[in-house]
Amino acid sequence: MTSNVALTTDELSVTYTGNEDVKALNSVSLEFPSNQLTAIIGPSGCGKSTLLKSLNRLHEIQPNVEIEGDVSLGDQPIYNTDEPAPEIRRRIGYVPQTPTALPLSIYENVAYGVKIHGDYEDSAELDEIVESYLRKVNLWDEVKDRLDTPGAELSTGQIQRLCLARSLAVEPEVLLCDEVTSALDPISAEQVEETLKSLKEEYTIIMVTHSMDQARRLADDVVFLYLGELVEANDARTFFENPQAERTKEFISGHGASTYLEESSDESDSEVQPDEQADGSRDRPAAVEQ
Amino acid sequence: MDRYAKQRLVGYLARGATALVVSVMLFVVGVTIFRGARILLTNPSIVVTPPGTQYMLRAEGGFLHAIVGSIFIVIPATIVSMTLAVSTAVYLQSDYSSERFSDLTNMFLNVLWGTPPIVYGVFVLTIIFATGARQSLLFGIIAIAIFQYPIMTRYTDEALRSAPDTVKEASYGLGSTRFETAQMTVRSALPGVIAGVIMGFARGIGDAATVLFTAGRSTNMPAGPMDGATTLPILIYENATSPNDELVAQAYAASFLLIVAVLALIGISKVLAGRFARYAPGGRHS
Amino acid sequence: MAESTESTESSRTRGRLSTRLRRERISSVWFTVAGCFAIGIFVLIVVTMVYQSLPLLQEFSVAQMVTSSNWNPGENQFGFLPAIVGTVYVSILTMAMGTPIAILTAIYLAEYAEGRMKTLVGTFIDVLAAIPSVIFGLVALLVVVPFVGNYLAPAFGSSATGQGIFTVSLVMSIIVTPFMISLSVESLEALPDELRETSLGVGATKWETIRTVLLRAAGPGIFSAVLLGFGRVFGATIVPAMLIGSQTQIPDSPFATGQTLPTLIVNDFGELMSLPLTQSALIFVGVMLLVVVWLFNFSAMLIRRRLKRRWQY
Repeated sequence: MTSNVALTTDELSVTYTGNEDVKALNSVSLEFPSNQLTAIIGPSGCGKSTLLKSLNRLHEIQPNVEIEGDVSLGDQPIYNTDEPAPEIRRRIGYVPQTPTALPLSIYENVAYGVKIHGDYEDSAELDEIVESYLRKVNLWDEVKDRLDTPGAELSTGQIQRLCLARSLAVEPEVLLCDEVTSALDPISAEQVEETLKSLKEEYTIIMVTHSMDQARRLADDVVFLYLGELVEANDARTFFENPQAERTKEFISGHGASTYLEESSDESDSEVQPDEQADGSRDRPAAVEQ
Repeated sequence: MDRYAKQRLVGYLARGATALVVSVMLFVVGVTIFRGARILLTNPSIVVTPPGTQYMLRAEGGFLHAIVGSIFIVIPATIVSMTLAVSTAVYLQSDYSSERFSDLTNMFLNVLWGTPPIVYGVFVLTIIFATGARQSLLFGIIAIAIFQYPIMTRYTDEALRSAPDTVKEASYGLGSTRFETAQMTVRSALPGVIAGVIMGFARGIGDAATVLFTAGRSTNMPAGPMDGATTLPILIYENATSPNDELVAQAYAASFLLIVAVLALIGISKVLAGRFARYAPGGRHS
Repeated sequence: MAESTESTESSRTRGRLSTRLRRERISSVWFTVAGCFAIGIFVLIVVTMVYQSLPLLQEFSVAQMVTSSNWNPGENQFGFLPAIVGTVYVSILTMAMGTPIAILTAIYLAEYAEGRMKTLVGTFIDVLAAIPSVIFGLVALLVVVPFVGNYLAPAFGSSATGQGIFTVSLVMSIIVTPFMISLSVESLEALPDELRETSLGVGATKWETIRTVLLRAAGPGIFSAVLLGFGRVFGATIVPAMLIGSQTQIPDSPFATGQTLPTLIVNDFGELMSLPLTQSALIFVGVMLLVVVWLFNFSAMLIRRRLKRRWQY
């Protein structure tokens, strides 16, 4: 089982066409093995999030993005296909960086995707589905008495696990996680990590992280991106103990295992700009205000 | 209907609704500009001619009185209102008031913002009755100023709110007083403040209900602040329903002037808002 | 000259400091006055207008006046019912026509439009919102009134001049729509992209995302936009005065002529000077408008707070 390949990218390039074209991802070919956790690492602005979002066509909601190459799920292409994007996203789930509760109750948050796809017979089955997925992310005991309260009233750590439950409830084959612990306090982060660890037996998880420690703790495989280029992709042990590429060696030793890549990377690097903008625009609190 | 058909349908509906709104706008502006321009081109003198003695009956002369009235009512009103609005916004934003008082004031500002202009008109009218005065240019100014005040305060408050806190901190850090700090805050938010004042001006110049009972609906040139006056919107309102075609034509000419003025004001405020966006961190990103 | 430069310098800054502090005190007084202006003017408006409507209130009870349909100021009959019915009729009809269009357009602008198209349409909406309403009235007299009178009303089997409730509602919906659009677009655009990504990420379509997630999350803002629009229609004066036909009767069809509370003030303005009780009655209409708007604002605030809690994200 574990040797099977779940997701393949074939010379995938992503270009942001703004005032000037910027290639955020340059001809990346990768294989993501199924039922394993693959961590994507690299300095900020290297195209990690871009790669993740292009795996299930989520970047399509942004204007000015162009894609070349293709991604295949098993042997089914994701881009050159008639299948509508929602069907693909259902099979390849996505959990965003910021813990995001939908403006619904806790119950409805988990049931949201299931209801949309109509994957249940009656309300009793829906109840069952909601309970089983809340249990799967170790949230059931904490919320079983208040399923009707707004999801946003939970703590951020709980919300992130709620997000996982919601994504899992539609039974995706692959789960994409974008730095899911970066917005959490250490204790909540640990809980989410535990959850992820228990999930990787059953799911193919692809996870962007900026913490080398986290990659060491969780990953079976590691993909290292630098400025939109694939530098090295290997199983975790080889990657950390016997890195092949020169840049990987520098990266691992230069930053030490315990430092956060984000902090030490050169933020003012001009080539970092496009991804920063794409990612950063929604993080600016002032723009959200009013 | 499956999910994707529904999604397409909503896409069409949203585009259709937008097309409808845009075409209505183009139609209204088009009709006004086209008719108004034609009338102004055939008889440009109506803009600079004062009305004759029988203006409302026979359309003698032009509507210079309304142009003069609009200018002499709205500009002073805007100045008064701007002074008050900027001061109020500074008071609410800076460290003059407690948070509770700010919230209270904001609540009242919201109520004032939603108050129909006719209520301001009637209010100033009651003052006219109470003081035994006559409807005049001066009371028109007061009514418009009260009407503009909540509008301008809202915009100014927003502009000051988006000014970076660092300006304030840096200013206090130099040993500045609150007043000197407030000056710096206003300066850093200036383009937004100006844009807000212009929006208030545009609303003031287009409103009829506030001046209807307060300025006197005069058909003569205003002779002084205590003399009766009229404004362009009131002229349009009164001429529009007149059986005299020439008066209706003048209403279109007046509308043309009003629309051009409003468009110019929006243009200016857009330019300023654009400049504002460049300075304000995280401001409107286009 | 024997004094050291140090002490002259400190006396100079001290002198300047006292000037600065004086300026600070004066400005502080001024800002406090300005800060209280909003509350002051509100209280002044309420007090003077209630005071001026006392003569009427001493003669008749409010309950009696708002339920009576006899409006004849010359004979001291002040029944506000026709105007109230007209106002409510116009407001509901306007919102029924305007709200769906406004929300759909807001969805287009916030979720579909991109780049130059978005800027262009946004500017159009801003322009539409800033056109003085009297100009809409003028164009409506030329276009809408003949259309309703000659085609639309006969098609529904009623004979009409073209002026009336429906005409006013149609034109008012054009006037308030852009206002509601820009407020709704603001609340939709303020939503974080994560909401969209999350919903799309479990395989929702765009419409499912908009309906279940975005319209709820932006719900409190859109709700206020609609209520503020409602308030605008409620207090609209010039357009109804031009287009409603101004007959104080309870309208029996959408094409009937009628009266709204603000047009009551406008139309009876001429008689207002001579009869003290009429004057008082018309000022009382202003009080009613104020009270309704106030209640609107207040309940909007409460409902918004509840929605915000319920639909938080």
